Amino acid sequence: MHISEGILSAPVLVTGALIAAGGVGIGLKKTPNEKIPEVGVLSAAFFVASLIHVPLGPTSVHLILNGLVGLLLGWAAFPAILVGLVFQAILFQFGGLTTLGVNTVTMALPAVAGYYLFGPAVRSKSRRAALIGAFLCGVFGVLGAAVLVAFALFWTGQSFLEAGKMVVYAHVPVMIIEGFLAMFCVAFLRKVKPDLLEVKK
Amino acid sequence: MKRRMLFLLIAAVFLFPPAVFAHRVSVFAYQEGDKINVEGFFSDGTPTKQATIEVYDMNGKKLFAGKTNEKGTLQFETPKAAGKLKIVLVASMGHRAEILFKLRGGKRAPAGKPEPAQASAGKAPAASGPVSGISEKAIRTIVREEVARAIQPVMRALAKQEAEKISFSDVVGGIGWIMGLMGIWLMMKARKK
Repeated sequence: MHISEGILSAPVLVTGALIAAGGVGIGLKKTPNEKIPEVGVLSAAFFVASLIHVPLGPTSVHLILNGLVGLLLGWAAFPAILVGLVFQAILFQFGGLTTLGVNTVTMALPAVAGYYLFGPAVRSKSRRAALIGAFLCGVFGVLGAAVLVAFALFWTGQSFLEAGKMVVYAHVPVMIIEGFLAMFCVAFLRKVKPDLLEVKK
Repeated sequence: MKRRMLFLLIAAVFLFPPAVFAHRVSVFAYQEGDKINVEGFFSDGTPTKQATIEVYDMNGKKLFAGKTNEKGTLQFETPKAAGKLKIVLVASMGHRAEILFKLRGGKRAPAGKPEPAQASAGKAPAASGPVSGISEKAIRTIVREEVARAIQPVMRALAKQEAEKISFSDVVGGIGWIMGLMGIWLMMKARKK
């Protein structure tokens, strides 16, 4: 899901960087002090998740965890994912420093969207609604990221349909795995620490 | 409680086998006779099938373009240019890698480049008229070819190793950095109050 250096055109890179900067700004402002450790830990989880390779599908794909990060952090997903990406770029040469902005947007924007779309269900009283919401949020995070990657490639010149199909198909196994991961996490959190999810009493 | 759950989350992530590291492409090339072999792979070892390969000279002129086969390899004729070639591999989904490939024969003028094996083997006897029937030049060429062929697996292994150089200490170090940043953020927030 990381777009390498030298693929995208300058306008795409600049736009990505600007949106990412805005998102990070909102994320930093909106995060209460008590939530900072959670942001750090999820950022670390995101950082490590990219090393977990899913040996299914036509190309090499890995876990992203952006749906889960978004569900738990909301807007703070932007700084969390940006920091994770910085270290993935520096230490693993995933993506690149010039594409940081674009990569942050492709992964953090669906995360935030997932928070708003599926957050209410996950926080609701009904356990079933929460689990379904969490599963869908995990799927949606990866799907959204794949679509945004395809869009970034399309904007630079690759044929959208071809690139989009490729990215989405390749990530179907990841979507399912992340859906279940998010579901298990939410099930666990609801049992152990419901106020972390802000579950309604 | 909260701490325990966060710990479990990280532990769960770590429990997956860290044997394969995905999501980077690498490309490498080696010369074989009058052909150059290019091979690309994702860093978990999967070959980059149907990836676009473009070859440029140092002035940025495109010399060759093609696609890799099912094994992620591609062969093209050694271009007449001297010096270095820039080989760019563009795989699916925004993956890209490039290398500088030094043509054998270094900075000599194109005419001075070692000729392909068959050609020089044919021409050489007439040129130098050696006792054995094979010129020194032809022997050199043949030896060079053979050595190149023999070290191919080594070159491959080296390139692959380079691609898989993510170490456990990098992973732990990265987590440490993130925790440190989180601490700085907390500290700054605490100061503001």
